[in-house]
Amino acid sequence: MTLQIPRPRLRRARWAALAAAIGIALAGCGQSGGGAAPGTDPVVTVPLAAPLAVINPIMDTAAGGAVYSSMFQSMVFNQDPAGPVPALAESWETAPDGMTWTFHLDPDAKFHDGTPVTADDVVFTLTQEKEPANPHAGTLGILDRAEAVDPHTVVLHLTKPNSALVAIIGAKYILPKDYYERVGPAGFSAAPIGSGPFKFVKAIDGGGVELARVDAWHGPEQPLAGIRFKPVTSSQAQVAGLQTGELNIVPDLPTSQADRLAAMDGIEVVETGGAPVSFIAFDVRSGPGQDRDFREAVNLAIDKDALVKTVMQGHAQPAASLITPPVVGHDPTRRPTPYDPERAKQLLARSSYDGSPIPFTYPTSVLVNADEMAKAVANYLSAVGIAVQPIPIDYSTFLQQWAAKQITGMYMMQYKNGTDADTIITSLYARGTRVLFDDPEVFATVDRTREATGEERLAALAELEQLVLDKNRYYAPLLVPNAVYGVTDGIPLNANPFNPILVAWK
Amino acid sequence: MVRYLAGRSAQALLTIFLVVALTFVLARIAGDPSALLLPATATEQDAAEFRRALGLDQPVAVQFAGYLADLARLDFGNSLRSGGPAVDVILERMPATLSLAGISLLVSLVLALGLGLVVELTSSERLRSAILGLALLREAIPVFVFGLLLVLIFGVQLRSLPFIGREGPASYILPVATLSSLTLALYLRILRSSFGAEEGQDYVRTALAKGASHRHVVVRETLPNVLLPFVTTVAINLGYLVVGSVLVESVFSWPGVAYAVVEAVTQRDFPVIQAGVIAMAVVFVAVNLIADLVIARLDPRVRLGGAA
Repeated sequence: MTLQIPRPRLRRARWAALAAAIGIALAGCGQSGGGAAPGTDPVVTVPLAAPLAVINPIMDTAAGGAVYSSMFQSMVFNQDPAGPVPALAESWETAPDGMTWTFHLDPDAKFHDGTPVTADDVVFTLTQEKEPANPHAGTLGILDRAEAVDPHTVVLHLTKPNSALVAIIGAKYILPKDYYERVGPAGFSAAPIGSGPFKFVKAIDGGGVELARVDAWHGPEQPLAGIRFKPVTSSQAQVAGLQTGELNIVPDLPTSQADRLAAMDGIEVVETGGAPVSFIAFDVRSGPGQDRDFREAVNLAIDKDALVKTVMQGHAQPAASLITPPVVGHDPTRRPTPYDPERAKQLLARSSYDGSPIPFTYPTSVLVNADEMAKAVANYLSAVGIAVQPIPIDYSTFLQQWAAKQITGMYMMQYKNGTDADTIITSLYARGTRVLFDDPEVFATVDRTREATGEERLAALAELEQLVLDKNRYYAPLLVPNAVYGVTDGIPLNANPFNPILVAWK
Repeated sequence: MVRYLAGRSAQALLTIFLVVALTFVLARIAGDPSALLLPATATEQDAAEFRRALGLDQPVAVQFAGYLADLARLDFGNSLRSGGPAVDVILERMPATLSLAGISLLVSLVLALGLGLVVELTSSERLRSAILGLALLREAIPVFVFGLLLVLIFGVQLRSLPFIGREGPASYILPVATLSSLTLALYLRILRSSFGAEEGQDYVRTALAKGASHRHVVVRETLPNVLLPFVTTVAINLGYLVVGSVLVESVFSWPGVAYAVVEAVTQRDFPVIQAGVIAMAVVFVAVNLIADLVIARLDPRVRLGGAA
């Protein structure tokens, strides 16, 4: 048995004082985002979907994206939908046989430490990336060697002609040779130096970085005074940050949020045609994927216009090819496969498909609205008599299985095009990569697209798409998701289909 | 004591070795990282050369032997993504994790002991029911849901607190509130249960019969006995606070170790995965050892390494 003690009671006045103190303290903890004082250029805060493991274009193949395009320069800026724009190189030309390319560097270009950008820096960067242990080595397979003819002239000697050379090598970010050799890769990543319009200020906890505009930069004037890249891995947190102003530019805005955010004061939603494309691919080595009638039936069974409306809320276009509109090499005369379920059923009836469920693998991220897409596609296929067994897996595992050609049945994925068609062609059409088909006619046409230039190249690319998508139906293009950006008012943005570009490049 | 510590250290090393071995094998079963590290345009030949250059084409047993040899020299290997020392990736993130876990622990301890004592001293059934009811409610809400609710209320609607990243003291408030409220709920229930178990003991009746005040009985007689199971629970929970905060780190984009390891798993960055697991295992083992020492200090009946 315990003694009963009168309960102590705080007086009302003390409770009120305590509540007021807490309120004042919370008010003082308010958030700070980007923005600008009147009359000054803004400093913006941009989320990174994944933390930066390293700030080193030589080592990193992940999307340094907007970070790298702000800090570093390549010889050519190739993310302008209108075509390549001179950057570190003022001009370039190729020999008649296409085996050498000569780049003439801007003599005024300087790195952030004041040292001039020279041909030696270009040679050094490309040589580093050709090292076998370097993740970029494969992209430089066509480069035999790089030569510094004089301080501002670089000659690239190729192993064979490739008209996409400007897109492949012209876009490599150039690093300062002397500084890099002095500090090493780890030291460079800790204090990176580039020649871009923004320079490194400090790292932000957890894999972010703060940049400041370079005074008297040798290129076009920049509208931003600085950029802070903060790791914000959750898309809900990104949307919330945009609403509160803690974030100023959110790329890859979820389509389900775009219209709601566009209606809010202080936020603008900017949209442009996208570079990625979603598609279905078939295991043509075994099962019903071997049958062209089956593949065409799948193509015809899916209503892409309906997918745009329902799954993407209007923020996409039906795909006519895998080379999307902003990409060099896109054929504007191509049209999406029409929705024709009756024809699909006829083709299915004469195909070898026996009605068994087919594995249908897809990644749960990167592919926009992945689960909704998979369900919708499965329903359309079911309506014509094709049974699929959806297999959602995380993106990393999907990528591993895709690269190892372990996926059977059918798979759906989203591929982000580079600025030139050669990127997607290398990944999905060329021999020796992830293609599951073995088609000499296709591979020979791929080679022709690389040897040809100008109109001849465009014709070869159109012929390649006809072979792969029409004659053989190796892939079923689905949608081209728009690039959707959320921006707080007053922040300038070059809405770019390839990457969020925060710099003025011309 | 020395023999006890030596024994526990050997046990700790064995535990860490087993954890490392298991992680090493499981990570490699999860698949080849070259697909994630190389661009999508890489050919099969590129991937093969890349794997060869990094030694990933060797049998797992050979890779493990090489890894153990490096570990003996305190070389944890280089991150496959950054090329820099894998241990640096973890050490950079440690302050964020330890500070979040430490502050959350402190807040929940202070509040738990404070509220627990208030409840016992006032002997108010209403207050007790209210507090334990709230504790139960909090435990029923998943940690990431609670965190998101705090973000929506205090971050988005009221705009009174930051919720992204670790910048400034104010950025600790919401993540600490999320983590500490969960452990607070647990501690309150443990305290109530322990106090309840002690209430009927002979020494309590004796003290009251001798004229001791209720306050004296609660604070001087009962509390030291209640602290024993309480400290044990706190110790076990601290390990989880440090290594299991990945959901909170994800909601608040908190730059901690747990999320770094998750990123490394996603990227199949084996050296960072292993360095992270070792770090967390060391923390876990160290915390449990400290807990044992504290309990031995509190309870004279406990003899380290001997019978109680």
